[in-house]
Amino acid sequence: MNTWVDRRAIVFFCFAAVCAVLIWPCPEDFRWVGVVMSVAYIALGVMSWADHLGRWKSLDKN
Amino acid sequence: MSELLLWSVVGLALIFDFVNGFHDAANSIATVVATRVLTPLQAVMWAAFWNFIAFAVLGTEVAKTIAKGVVNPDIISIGVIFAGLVGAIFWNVLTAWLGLPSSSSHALIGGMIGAGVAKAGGHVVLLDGLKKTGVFIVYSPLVGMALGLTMIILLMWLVSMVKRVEMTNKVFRKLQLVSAAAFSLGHGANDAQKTMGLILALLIGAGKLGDDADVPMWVVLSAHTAIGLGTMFGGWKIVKTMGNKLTRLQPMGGFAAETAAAVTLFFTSAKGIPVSTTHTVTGAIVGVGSARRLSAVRWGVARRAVWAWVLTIPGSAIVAAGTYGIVAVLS
Repeated sequence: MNTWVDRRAIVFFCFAAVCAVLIWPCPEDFRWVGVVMSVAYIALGVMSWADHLGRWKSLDKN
Repeated sequence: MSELLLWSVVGLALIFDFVNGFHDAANSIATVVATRVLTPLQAVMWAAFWNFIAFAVLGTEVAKTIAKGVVNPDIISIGVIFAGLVGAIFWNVLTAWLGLPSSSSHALIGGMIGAGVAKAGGHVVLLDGLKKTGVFIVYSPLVGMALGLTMIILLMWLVSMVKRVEMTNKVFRKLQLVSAAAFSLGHGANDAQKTMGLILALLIGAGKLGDDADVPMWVVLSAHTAIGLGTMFGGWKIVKTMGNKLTRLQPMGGFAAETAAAVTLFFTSAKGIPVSTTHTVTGAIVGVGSARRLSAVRWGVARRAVWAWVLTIPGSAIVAAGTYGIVAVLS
């Protein structure tokens, strides 16, 4: 919490990258799973970082 | 003689199914036991019942993938299935003994690949089936994790509006019975089908069934009975790892994790993708735990589990290839 960097969000972004990379070897019928998962992890990462920044700023003010 | 061998290997496949239930019992019941909704004995009985009932709910697509989509069905013989099973059973027993939540499914797939390659070379491995299985080795825990995290966020938001913590806990303790049942249903469907697929491949290979045959009902029923019985005798060592060591769960978290894993298993079972129930539920538990903060997840334990997963296919393949070598020399 003493830094603006959110480790959880970084992990989620890494998962998004892994899902995106796996779209290529995935059989055509299931490629949408990789797309949906990449988008979902990016969204989760953004939400996590926003939540972290909100709490970090309020701690910083105190 | 070959008839006796055939039925002996069918018996061995059912023993594998039993061991699978035994090994994976923890996945179905870890969260209900960890949150003390049910005693271990009650939880095991509950999971076994839903494991058995699964045959009536979900189809046999996964069985077809195992029978015809991993190695070329033309090279499948009693010796290949026997060696594949020995590789998978050896790996399951080893990881159960070590208390590692590895995957019975991937042990089986690794075993079949190892035995098939030992018999006829690398070209017998069917790349499409292997790609589908391989990609979902990674996707299944990630889908479970994303769903688990999304569910717990939504539930926390809903509960924050109710503001009655005690009532919330009571409600989720009851709901966990439903989610555990749903997960056991998914587990029974996806895992019992792997044994069905194996027996189907064996019967086709032995000329007892035609190439386009569906899974006979006696195979469906015996596979579900074996996995249900295995679950009843469940692996307590792994219950401890899954339920308490990965992250501490409250009833609401348990409900979210099991529901997320069940949804993933229903989808993959319907689409004929053999996934690991262990991977899926571990991902979901980690997802729920990470809603608090990443440090709520015991990453050391998760890392050990990942290593067990990475080594499963090559490990069981090597044992199966060695076993096939011995079978070939002896026969």
